[in-house]
Amino acid sequence: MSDTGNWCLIESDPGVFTGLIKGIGVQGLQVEEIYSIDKETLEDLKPVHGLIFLFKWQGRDPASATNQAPIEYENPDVFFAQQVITNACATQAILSILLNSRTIELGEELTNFKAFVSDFPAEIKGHAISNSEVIRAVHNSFSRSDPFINEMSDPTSKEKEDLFHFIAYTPINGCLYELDGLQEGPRNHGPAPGDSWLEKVGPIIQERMARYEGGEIRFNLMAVVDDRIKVYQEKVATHEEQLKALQEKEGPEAGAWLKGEIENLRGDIVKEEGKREKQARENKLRRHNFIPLIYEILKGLAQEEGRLEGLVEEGRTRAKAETESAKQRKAASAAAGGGSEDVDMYE
Amino acid sequence: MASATKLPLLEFKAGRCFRTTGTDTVKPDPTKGLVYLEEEDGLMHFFWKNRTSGEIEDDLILFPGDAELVAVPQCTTGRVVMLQFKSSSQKLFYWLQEVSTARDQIILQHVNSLIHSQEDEEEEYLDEDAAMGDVEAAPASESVSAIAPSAAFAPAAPVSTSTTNPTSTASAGAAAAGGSSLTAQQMDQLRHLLGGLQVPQTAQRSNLRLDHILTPGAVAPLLNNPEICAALFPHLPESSERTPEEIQAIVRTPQFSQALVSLSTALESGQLGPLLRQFGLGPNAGNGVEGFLSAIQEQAKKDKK
Repeated sequence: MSDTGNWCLIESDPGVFTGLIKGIGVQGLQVEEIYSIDKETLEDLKPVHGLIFLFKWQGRDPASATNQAPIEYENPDVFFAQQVITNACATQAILSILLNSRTIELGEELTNFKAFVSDFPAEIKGHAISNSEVIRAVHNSFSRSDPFINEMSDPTSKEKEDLFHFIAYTPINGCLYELDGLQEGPRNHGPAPGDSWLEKVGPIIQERMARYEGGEIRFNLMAVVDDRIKVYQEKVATHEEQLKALQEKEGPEAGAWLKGEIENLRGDIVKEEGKREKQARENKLRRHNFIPLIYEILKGLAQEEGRLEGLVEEGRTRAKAETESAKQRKAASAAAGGGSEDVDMYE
Repeated sequence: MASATKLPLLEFKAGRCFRTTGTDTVKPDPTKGLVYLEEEDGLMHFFWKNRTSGEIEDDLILFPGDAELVAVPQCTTGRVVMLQFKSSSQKLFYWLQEVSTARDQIILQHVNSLIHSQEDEEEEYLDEDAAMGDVEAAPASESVSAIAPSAAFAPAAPVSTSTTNPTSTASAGAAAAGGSSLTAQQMDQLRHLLGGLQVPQTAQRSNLRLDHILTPGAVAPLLNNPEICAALFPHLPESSERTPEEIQAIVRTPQFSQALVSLSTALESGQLGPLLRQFGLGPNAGNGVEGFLSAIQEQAKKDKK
């Protein structure tokens, strides 16, 4: 786990993950962040290929204590890789879902990769991921442009090395599996035919969250789903056919409900397109080197008499206030037995 | 006195650190040095020798169990160590100059076991001695201290007020660019060292970051100036529109804030000297956020004249 090699930190962000999946040659998928694991949310996102549960935690994993689904050490139907480098964890979680799916079109790159590693033991599979040039290159293309970011600790997390972890949940051969790269093998949570795994997984994740309660944990849940626009378009097409059939039978005024549905779906498509545009823009900004821009802005401010001096003064006041409030928070969280600051980065 | 042929029980390359008067902060002295332990007349001596002049400048007698060499917890790299005594409040600080950090722990353990069990037979240490041999065999460190100007270490010193010391002009990066033959590894070491050298209880860093200054509100008025906007446009992402509104929008993005934070961190690490020269900034620019800002101000003043 210590060899981070040349794997950069990437942000835990649905736009980044979606781009990553596309980058390794898998079409027709996207990643959605979900904020609750209730039935409606998941129902709405179907078909769901898998869930990625990311969290930051300190200390031991209480899950290893009791009440565990059994580990399957030898199951040729399950792709399981042990996590050997920390920074690749998000990518590895995604791969755990992609490579176990029977329905996702993997594309040439991943198909070859899967064939290549299929007979390897879990640990070697983990190394194979970390050594894959293509996967690494795609992963790193989503890192921030700053040339120095890898070499330094985040100023906000200086005191404690933050630990991040992921778990992938995905259905394989009619059973719900938990793929955790820090475990020795995949955990089988039992039979869950069809989409029923989505009902089964909710309580498992909730129970897991509950076990961490009070320990200053941040959770993040993402779903690997089909391209939403395609899903909506297909639904529109189906509804339109139904509407046509209905209107032929009952006249042009019939099917108000279907019309409304179609309207809603078109609205969803527009929303989704807007979201994608935003994500594409964010990904571009992530890769942009802002140093020259920052320099030019500061220079512009310095050229206007006294402007920069004044702003620096204000900045100092702000910095001081921030330091003070951080101290207070720290004291409060120490009193509450808590841990460190929030950092919105995942490995 | 001890015979000249006598081999030291242990030696490792280390420089000294000195307390800055009136503070609880220690500053590393860049002089190359060697710490070694030798038994003389039945007493354990702890020596520090200046590797440049060959002079022994520290010679302390350590009584069994009375002293301990420990890593300074406030130093995040663990390379600053402290020799403390149980019988007195005396503390001496050193920074490890071995090329590899791999044996830092072994060095500490070895020193402490020598102090604690001076009566023991030497065979006990044979294994560890072999390990120490490795350390010595490592490519001779023209170690970090090879970059002579002591000012190179200035960024390491916690700045107690918000203004940086104007005499500490050379940043680590600038020194490297100035023709010294630092390897990447040595630069790394130096960087780690620079990052780790603060004793936080009393050190009051200003903690000023660029995102404290370049708030959207601070940038907005600037965008009324078409000349300045024209200077900014080439530095926007390619796909962005060349409008003041776009600049304002970008300044509001979390990605821009993130860039401000990480540039600030990089500036504080003192490693950006060469990069900042591209902007024609003085050497002081690599010296923390404050140094960067004052270099830009100086530059603007010069440009006006």
